[in-house]
Amino acid sequence: MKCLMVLLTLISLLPTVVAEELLVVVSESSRVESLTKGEVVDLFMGRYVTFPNGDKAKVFDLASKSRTKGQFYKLLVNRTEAQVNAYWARLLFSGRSVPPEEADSPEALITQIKQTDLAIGYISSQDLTEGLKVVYRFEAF
Amino acid sequence: MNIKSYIAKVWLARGWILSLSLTLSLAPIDSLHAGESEFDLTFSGFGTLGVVHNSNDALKFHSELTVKPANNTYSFNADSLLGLQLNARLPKRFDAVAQVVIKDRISSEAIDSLELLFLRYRPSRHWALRVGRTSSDLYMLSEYRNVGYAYLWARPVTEFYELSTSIAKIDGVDVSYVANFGDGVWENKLAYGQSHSVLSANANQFEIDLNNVVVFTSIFTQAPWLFRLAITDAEVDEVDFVTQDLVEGLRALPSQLWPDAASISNVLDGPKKGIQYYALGLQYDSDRWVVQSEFSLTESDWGIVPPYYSGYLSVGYRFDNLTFYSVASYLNNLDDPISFKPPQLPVQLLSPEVVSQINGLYQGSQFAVNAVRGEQRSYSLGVRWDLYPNTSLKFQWDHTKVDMAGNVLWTKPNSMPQLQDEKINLFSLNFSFIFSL
Repeated sequence: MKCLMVLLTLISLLPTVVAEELLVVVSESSRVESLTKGEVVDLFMGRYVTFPNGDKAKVFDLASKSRTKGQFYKLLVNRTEAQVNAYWARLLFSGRSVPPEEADSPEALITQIKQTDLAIGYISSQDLTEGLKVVYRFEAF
Repeated sequence: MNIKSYIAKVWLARGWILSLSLTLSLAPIDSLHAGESEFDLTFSGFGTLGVVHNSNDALKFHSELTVKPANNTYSFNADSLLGLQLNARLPKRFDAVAQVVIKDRISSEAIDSLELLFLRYRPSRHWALRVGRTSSDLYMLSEYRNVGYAYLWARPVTEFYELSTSIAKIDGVDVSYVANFGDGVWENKLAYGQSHSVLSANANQFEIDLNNVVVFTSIFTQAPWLFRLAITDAEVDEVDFVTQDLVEGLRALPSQLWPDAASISNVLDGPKKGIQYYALGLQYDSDRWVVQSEFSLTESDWGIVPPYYSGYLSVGYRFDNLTFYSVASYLNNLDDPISFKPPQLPVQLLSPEVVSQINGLYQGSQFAVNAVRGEQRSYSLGVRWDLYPNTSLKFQWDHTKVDMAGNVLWTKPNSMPQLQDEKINLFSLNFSFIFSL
């Protein structure tokens, strides 16, 4: 019995495991309600510069070498950051499109997204706050 | 500055001013849209610092015909360049791009360093219209051939890309339509305009203007695949090259002296002749493997540019930040070399000077008609190291066999015909980078 009590105590002390998710978010005032994965790819890979409803999109990215950024592009297009950078170099310098604006931290990115209803970005579910609307949700990783 | 480049400058300036005034006139309407920033400038750039070692003394290397040939065994000018770009987001659905690329060009005209200068209007999500100077979208790397960081190799495969630099830029308009198609994206583009190029042809400078250039490009992308097709039609407008002196000399001869002179001059004469390019491309780019292949066929009515076909297959494997690759490529002419019949001159009736001049015209014509032939194949091995975000280091070895009568991609130390097949080993080390402010 004593052993069982010790075991139960130990289990209760283990940190609660919360599944972390990656979320694609817009400002709550955005006219966009939800996007498919293909539509998220279209925006983040520069295929279109507008949302499917025709509204101009302002895409935000996280700065280089952030863990969330690596996971986002792995889940979105199965590419490393170096591959994504080379891809954007092709689009930018062929004059096709301009890469997403980089925010230094998730907090800075959230601030930017809240400021305009045309913005879109990605965050970890742990950073989700009021004022944001989730338009696409990646499965837990 | 010659008259053509002056006209090109005036044309570009007029188009630019017209486009800007159109944009500005629409600006007040756009200011009603809340939350949309009106004007935004982004400055960015790219560059390559490269050194090339050429094992062969008989043939000098250039990465493209618009760039001066490498003068020494070790050369920094062949691959090194610096590009600067300004993107302007404008009110309404307009934006504009200007790009200058500084490299060791044959041309000394500043306007030839201007790679992009266009105004774009996107009336809807799917359509885009551009006016100004754009890159001709002939082949997979045509639009970003200067951006070493954006591709795997030390430079775009020379067998495939080097001759196409004669039509690298188009001054005109294009319209594109992009739409989702199944799980992929399909883009179709039609461009129309003119092009001006200053090329190196052995020791000579070769200026060519193309008119009525029409390029149709169709690209279907469904990760990890990309397919593309391009069809181009162009008309030679004006040529500034020694061959036009031959044409004038041949046309000045009385037809009784050398009846073939007229037909030979027609073969050599550039203006109004048509050139067509057809290209197919395929890319498979997964997380580990990157495979790319292109094939092209060039048809021409102009004897100086004989029809040719070229292609390559590149296979790369990614291993963390390193990508190992190998490339096999070739360039061949479709037809055999042209042989003109020597003139049968009534030497007893002509002065020795006239006979010598006519024979000179014959030999010059015979040399010129086969001088732009390309017969070569290369095997390359290389590695790209993405050592830090936005920088890459590449090392590449190319082994090239150039046939006796097909060295158009190379410059000989003098203008004498090449007498034997040549084997060349090129070693390239390139540091490429991109940046934005």
